[in-house]
Amino acid sequence: MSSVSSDDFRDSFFQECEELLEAMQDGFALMVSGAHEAETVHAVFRAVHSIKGGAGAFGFDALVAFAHHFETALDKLRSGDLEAGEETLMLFQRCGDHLADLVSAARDEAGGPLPGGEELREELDSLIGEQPQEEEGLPAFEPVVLDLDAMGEAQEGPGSISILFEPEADLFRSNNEPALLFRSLERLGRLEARADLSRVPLLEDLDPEQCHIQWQLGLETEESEGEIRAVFEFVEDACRLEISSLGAAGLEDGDLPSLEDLISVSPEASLLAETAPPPPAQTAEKTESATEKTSGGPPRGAATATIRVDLDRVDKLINLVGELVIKEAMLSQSIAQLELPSENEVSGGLESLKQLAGEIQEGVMAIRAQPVKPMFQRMARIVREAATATGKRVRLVTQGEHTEVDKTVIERLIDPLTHMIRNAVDHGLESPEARREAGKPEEGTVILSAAHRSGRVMIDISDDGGGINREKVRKIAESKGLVSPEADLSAVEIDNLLFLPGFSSKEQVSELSGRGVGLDVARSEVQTLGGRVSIASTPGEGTTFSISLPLTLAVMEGMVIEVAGQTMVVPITAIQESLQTRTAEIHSIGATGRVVANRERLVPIVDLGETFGLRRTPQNLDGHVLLMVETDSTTHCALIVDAIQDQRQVVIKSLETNYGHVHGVAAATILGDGRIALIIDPDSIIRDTVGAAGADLQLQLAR
Amino acid sequence: MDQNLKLSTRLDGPAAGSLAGELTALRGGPLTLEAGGVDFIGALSLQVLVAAHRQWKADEQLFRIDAPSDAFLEGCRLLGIPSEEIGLGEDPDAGGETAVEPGTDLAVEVSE
Repeated sequence: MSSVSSDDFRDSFFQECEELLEAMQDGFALMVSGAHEAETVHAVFRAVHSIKGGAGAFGFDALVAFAHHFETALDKLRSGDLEAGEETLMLFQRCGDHLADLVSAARDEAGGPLPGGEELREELDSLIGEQPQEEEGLPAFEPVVLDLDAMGEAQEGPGSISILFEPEADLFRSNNEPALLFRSLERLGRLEARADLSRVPLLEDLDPEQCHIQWQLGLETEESEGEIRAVFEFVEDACRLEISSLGAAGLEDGDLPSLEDLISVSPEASLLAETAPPPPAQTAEKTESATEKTSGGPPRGAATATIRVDLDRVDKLINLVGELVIKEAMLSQSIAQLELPSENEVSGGLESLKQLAGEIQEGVMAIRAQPVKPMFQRMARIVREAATATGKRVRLVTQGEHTEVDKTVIERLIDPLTHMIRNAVDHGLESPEARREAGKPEEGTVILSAAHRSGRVMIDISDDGGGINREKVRKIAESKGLVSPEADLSAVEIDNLLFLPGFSSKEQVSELSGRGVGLDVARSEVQTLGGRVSIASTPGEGTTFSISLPLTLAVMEGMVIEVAGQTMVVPITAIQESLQTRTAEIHSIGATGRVVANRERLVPIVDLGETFGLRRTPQNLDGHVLLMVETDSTTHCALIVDAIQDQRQVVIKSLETNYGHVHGVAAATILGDGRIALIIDPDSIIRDTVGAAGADLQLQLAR
Repeated sequence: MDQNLKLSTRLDGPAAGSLAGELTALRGGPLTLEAGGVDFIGALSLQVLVAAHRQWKADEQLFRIDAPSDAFLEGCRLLGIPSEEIGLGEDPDAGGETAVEPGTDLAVEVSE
């Protein structure tokens, strides 16, 4: 142990805490949905218990004290003394949140109790009707040893697994046979079986259909617990099965623990678990520590298949891959200039190089991709807090939480998503009374879902509330001068008014939305990620906010264009189509304004050259191309460009980090010829030149 | 007088009931089971043999298994049943127990 610094262990502890907290939240989610089994409660208990054990070793007293209280209450639930009622589960979830806070505080070395903990403790005490025994002798926590061993185990080779197996009569009735199961186990590693025959009676007392034998199996294997469980997959309901890892081989001196050693631990513990009356907390700990690594918990085996890597290293790698893509583009341009015969080895080689670079790029991007699950779990907490603050009852349903998105995107999405979730609870859902009157269940539902759709990630936040009150929205927008009273707005257009800066539909600002942040901020945050937000709402049925995001922030598909002698890149996601000016139906409006008729609407024309101060808008548009771009479902614009050069993947180089923010420019990239090109931000260009959503709408009226 | 019972070839779970019945009918005297033809033995049948061995011991009668097949021994090994628990390799003359490691060739040792 001395070879590893305590900092490493500390880091491991916090990393493990994250996984344990996740497992705990999963367990609570299952319990709330009513789909849990006894094992779910065990898993939650184990998670809290392990956090407590580790925290004890590092002397995080506040964390240990709270975890102990929490664990005692969970134990009551486990032993059946406590019903998993709605109130209880809500309290437990809040306790889970507090536990997470305490873990963060410990990590930031801001130890000591946090506000709210005392109240939660009191609630827990009144729930279980007693004060838990104070934990004695903190430093003597025996689970600590186990946990640290487990950390080592992750990197070790084959381990010894101890399996307790006791078949029930049903197992034989369904024509299963222990001998065959054991033979399957033998395929996974070296198996030693020992039958406990102590309960086999005399022949005259024997019911030949009942099995009185209990097996203690020792298996040396490199396989994960999941693999072992899979052997028992079809008999799991017809037997008692306890699988525990006994640590890696070679931890001490390369010798495997003998079977006798293995057996001396587990049968006792398991017998204890079986025969003892509902154990008080302290006894339960002992039982639990012996079977800690058993059934159901986060699969231990998975840990061996992953490594933890510093994010910086991944980012460096991504940067290098970006450079590789640029160099490759440069090389291909130089080769093109050589004007080699069409079938030549250089081009062939370059082609395969391109393919390889593409694969490397995809692979590296995949490293950064993370499931949205942890973010969704954070949102569960936001929902709970928002529900408490507004006095509403809300159920959060998450879908597609294994959808993977770039880590940076996830991190930067938390704020806007938090806002939208709060918005859904605060403004979207009606009060319980109103819901009752409308014939809906008092408990509102917010669905948070994620999915991959055509190269983008879609995140939807839906509520089953009253839908957007468009009349009211319109009135507010008019009173704030955001829209003219005469304007004839479609439903979608009214919905989009919510995104206008300075709009807040609730007359009374509640505690939740009191942060002075409107949906417009949430939307612009999503837009800086290259994403878009749209709304769909049905009166009486609810509202859905949809966020569409790029998979990564490192590369994007762009259209390389030329304007006034400059090369620029327009994100392909913003482009709807390109139009030839010769055939397009262009009308003049006022002194200088021009619009083009496109798909039954008049779209304002904007010259990119003038926007960037490169030239004055050309009077004659012949020879130019119009790029139809859209920012959200209602705002369109036609950009004048001189020529379209290429459509290609470009590596995004942030301007902000290297220079500073430039209006109308999202980022920069390096082209194949080594020149730098600006990636334009159509959203901000349209916002500035065409004005807010209104302009486009007004033009429609003009028809 | 000495009785012999030839064990069925397949002693799986469903066979345990009839095996127990046959054995019960033979109680009261020394018994030798001929296990040479067994090509599969499962947990429940082995349990019957363990129970029978205990019964015969309680009845103070000799109970032994003769010339077990490889499959029989493999079943014992796989299920971790010690040979002495089923009267494997018990010497009728000595009356005592001679533990035989499962997997060794018993045919020689116990042949009469």
